[in-house]
Amino acid sequence: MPNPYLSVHRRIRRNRRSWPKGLAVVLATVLAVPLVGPTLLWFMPAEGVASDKALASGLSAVGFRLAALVASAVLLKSYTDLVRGPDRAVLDVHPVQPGPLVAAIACRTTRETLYLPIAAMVLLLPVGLSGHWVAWAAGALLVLSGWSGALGVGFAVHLAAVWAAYSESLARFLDMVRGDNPRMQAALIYGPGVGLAVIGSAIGLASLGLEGALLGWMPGWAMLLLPPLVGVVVGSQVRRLAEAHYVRASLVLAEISAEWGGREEAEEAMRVYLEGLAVGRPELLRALRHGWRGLRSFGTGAWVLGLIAGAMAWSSGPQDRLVWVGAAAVLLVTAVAARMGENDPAWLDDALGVGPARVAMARAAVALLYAQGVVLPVAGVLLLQQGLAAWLLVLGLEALAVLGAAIGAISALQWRGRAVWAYGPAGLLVWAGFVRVLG
Amino acid sequence: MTMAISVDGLVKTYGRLRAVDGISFSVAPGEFVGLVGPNGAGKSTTIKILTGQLSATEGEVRVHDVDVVADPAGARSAIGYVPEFPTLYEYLSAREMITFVTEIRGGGDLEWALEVAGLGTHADRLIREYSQGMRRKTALACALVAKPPVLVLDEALNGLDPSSTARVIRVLDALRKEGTAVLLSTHVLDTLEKVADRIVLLKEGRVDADVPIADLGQIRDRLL
Repeated sequence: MPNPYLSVHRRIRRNRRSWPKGLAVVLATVLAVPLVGPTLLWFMPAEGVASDKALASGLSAVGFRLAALVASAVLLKSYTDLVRGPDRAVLDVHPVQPGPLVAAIACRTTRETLYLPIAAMVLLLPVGLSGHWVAWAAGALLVLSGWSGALGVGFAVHLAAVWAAYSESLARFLDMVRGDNPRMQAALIYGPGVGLAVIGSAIGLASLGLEGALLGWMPGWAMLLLPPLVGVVVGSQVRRLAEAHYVRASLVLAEISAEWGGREEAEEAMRVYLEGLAVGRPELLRALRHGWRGLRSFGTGAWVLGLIAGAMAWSSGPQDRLVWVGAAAVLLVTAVAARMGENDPAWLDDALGVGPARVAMARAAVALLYAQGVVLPVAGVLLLQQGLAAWLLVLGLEALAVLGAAIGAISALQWRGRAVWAYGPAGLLVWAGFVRVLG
Repeated sequence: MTMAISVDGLVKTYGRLRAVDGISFSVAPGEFVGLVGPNGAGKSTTIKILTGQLSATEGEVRVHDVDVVADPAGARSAIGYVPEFPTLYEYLSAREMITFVTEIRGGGDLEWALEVAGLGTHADRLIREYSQGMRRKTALACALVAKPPVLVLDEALNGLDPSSTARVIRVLDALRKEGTAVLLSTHVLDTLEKVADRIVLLKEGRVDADVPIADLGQIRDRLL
């Protein structure tokens, strides 16, 4: 009997009639390669040929980072699709067959994340174009391995997290690490981290295998297949876990939501980050509220990213890495302006009684304010260490935040629910250009 | 006789708040019961537990003899449920959505369900183009299409035009006569007066009254 969930996903795709979302990201990556290549692929000499040793160790290091980045994105996407995806809300009122449903969701996640390893392979293209096609193939294989392994691990880990949420034996451990979150939420939050530890270890070993393989150690080629092997072994539990825990995940989500609702004092729930800045500006107040209540991870995550970038600035490492990471962090945070367009209904914009330009400016202002969480720690450390000599980089990051916020707000205004897919490729190009100029 | 719905000593706490505080009631097969009460009385929480969307802190809930707390997935097979804010696949038409539901529920009468929904030629338009009323009609058709033995409707008639409301009430009445148990949560007492057998009034998380529809007049004041 055909899988009805696969059929309905296919039908939805046909009715939606949209371009593959990742295509724009891949095209933007093609354009970004000449800009970001010299910084990303630092081991490739501008002239002449890289030594075998430099190529092997450099490609191993870059391949590891790219594969880990792709795996992280897959783990987050699989969490969104499986636990908080669109199917859950629709199907919660009906009897479901968890095995076939999770299989259909996994197929969709696979299709919708395929652009990630392709974009990563494009980033590595200068290696092949310089004549090292075997090395490029090895790098591509490492990225594909990380991606496929993360799919298997991700689905198993997120379903196991539902078990962990109810587990009496893990209750004390979860209470230790949950911070202010409900215990059940801690189980879900740490799922992607556990997944990344598992698949990241496999990717780490595979990247060592890549280095060895390029230096003539044949077992290194086999090591490149470790991540998918781990994915298959861990993923073999998905069906069993799905039967036991897919439906219960809805109960976990409801419990988490209810616990937050029960513990928040009304006044506390109404408080909003930076709200005092919006006096007399209803569109800014709305954007601040939307950002804080619906997209809070951008506001708090900005400070986490800022501390990481600040620590990099404090260390004596090369400044181009700081530019690389700082710029990426700023553009990641200013994506909040694009995300705001997803849920804001057009009638609400109209109801505010202000023009669309002011609505867009309010979203941009929120994104810019959130981005200060990245810029301020970096600026503080650089100015302490280097004094005014660091002004160019600090101003550059601030200008990047303005540009990112503007692109995000314009994307939200033009494309609403699909704004992120316009912002992503544009942000990638801006990041590559920034790295080229200041890196 | 096995009850279609049996709620016994149900408690649900959120921190210090007792949203549901020892509720007990039952619905027999072929019985139409109205669940009423002011906002915050515990109606939606009770319905969410009943339909396996939320776990109970204490008490037993059985639907069609399945323990909902122990087997929420199993209980869903017996229930046709329309939540207060139904979610549907935006990029399907009503016809496609209801067809899909018949597939996952193992059968159903598609044409009858479409007739109940009363969407006419709109049945082939994408749901994302529908008004709130049309979405609700589609959700109702999805809940009814497989003719499950228990129907749980949470404010399911809100936003329907009068002729659609009358048509749905007629259908629910006919299903009740065929043995379907119906639990309808609503604020509209006039609707219940026409079709319900019994009213369960919730107040502050407790059953304040459980009376035949003939006694609606006695509790109307308490409700207001």
